[in-house]
Amino acid sequence: MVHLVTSDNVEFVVDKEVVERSVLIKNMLEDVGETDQSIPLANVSSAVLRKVIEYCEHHRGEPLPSADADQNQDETRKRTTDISEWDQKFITVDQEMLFEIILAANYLDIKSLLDVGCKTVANMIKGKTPDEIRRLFNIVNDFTPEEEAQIKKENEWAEDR
Amino acid sequence: MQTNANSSAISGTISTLQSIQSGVVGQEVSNQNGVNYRRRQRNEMLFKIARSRNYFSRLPTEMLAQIFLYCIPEGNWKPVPRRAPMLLTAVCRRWREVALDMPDLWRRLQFNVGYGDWRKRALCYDSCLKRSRGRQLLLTLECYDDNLTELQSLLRPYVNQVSSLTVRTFSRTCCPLAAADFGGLNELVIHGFYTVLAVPESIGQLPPNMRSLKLMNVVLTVHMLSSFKPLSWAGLTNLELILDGPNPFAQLLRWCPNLSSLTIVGIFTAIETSKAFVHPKLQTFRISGNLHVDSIDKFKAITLPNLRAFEARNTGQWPHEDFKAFLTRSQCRLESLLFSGGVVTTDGQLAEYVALFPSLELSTNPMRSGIFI
Repeated sequence: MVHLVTSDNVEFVVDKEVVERSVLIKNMLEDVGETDQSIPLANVSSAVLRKVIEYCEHHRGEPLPSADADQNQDETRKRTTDISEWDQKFITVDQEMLFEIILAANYLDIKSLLDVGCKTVANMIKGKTPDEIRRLFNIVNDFTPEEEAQIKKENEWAEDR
Repeated sequence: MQTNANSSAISGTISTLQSIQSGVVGQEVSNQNGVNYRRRQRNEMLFKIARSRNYFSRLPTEMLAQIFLYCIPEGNWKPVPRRAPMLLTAVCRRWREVALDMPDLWRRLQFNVGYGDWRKRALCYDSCLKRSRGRQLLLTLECYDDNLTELQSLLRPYVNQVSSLTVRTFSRTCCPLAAADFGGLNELVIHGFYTVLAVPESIGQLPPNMRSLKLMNVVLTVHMLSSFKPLSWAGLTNLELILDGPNPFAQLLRWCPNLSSLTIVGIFTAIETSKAFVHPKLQTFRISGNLHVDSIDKFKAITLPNLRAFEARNTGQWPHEDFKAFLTRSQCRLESLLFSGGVVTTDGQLAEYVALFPSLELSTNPMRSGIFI
């Protein structure tokens, strides 16, 4: 078992096989060997780690994606945004939690979880207008009038569908 | 914890904003500059509130870039404002900077040529091509009769960047581009929607790195093949095409010694006498078309020692004895044999194939009858 301590000082005891889906933790454990000492995760809160562990538990035993998987995926041209049913349910959380999960997956180096998060956000973006995207994600339109004019011009050059 | 902290930060900002606002309302400000200053302050505060709930601002650029890559549509790469990548440049400054700094977002493009306002569209296409900054391009061209010369000029600076080219040509008279002009081309797909006489001209000579050629709705005759430069076909590993007339199967195999996959839709009406020929690399062979009795000679002339998968469709009565002799002669380790719609075989014949290759995955699927290409 592995002891993890979150940024809000909550300790989790997790099965080694589960927690080793995180490349960061796997490498740490390989470096320090068997230890009863807790691993501090300064960038992850307990609420987020709970979700991350839920994900890792569910995907326990599945093969880890290889380092060059991204490159291969690019070569096959399709970056599909399909998400499995379980993952979809799992990632149906509020926006703040969604982005926290993405950040945690990045920090802990859990590629498959990072992909699920990024795909979810991409699917939220697709099919919306810039204005709808701004409203959905509270993004401020900070373009100068000159930049706005340039974008308008570029859009006029393009086809509309 | 963090949520609470954020909420209190937001309420703090809101109350500051309210105090500024009430100050503006309650105070008689004669000085126009003062009003402007307060308005600016108010706007800045509003921005701050929005920013604090913009979770994208917490993401490092490389993660934003990863999300952007997933925004690219899987099939349609027309640059339009409502879809990525163009959409991503119109949301806010940061998104625009990141999107414009990602050549990978701009390497899959579809251009429509020959209708509408080409001049405007060419500006858009050119800016997309520039943004790809030397990356390998996967290009789809939908071409009608007009603007083909303009298309050639537009693409000229980028021809060596194009690694995959799909041309859907609706032009009756000419094919817009010659494959040989694209030095880095790896894969070419041509869909001809009419009898496109000029398509053979565009593929007569292939660039040296080309590995895959797929011709859809384009019928090649042996006469056309005779004008090709076969040496440039030597690098192909995948070939899919429709042939008409005397059977040039062996000729194609000679031209393409590195072929590992061949799909032929044939209208085999006569027979070319072929000398015996061994092709050591072909692994997958799919054939569809009417095999007249004479044309089955193809199996007498060819030996394929590396054949792993074979599929036949629409061939009518299956030349079982010749095919069996071909398999025995080839001494291949056939793993998969599929007889789809329009192939007539008997149970006894199928059993003989299994006897030849005990671990063979043998299947018949009469419902699968469309041509491959």
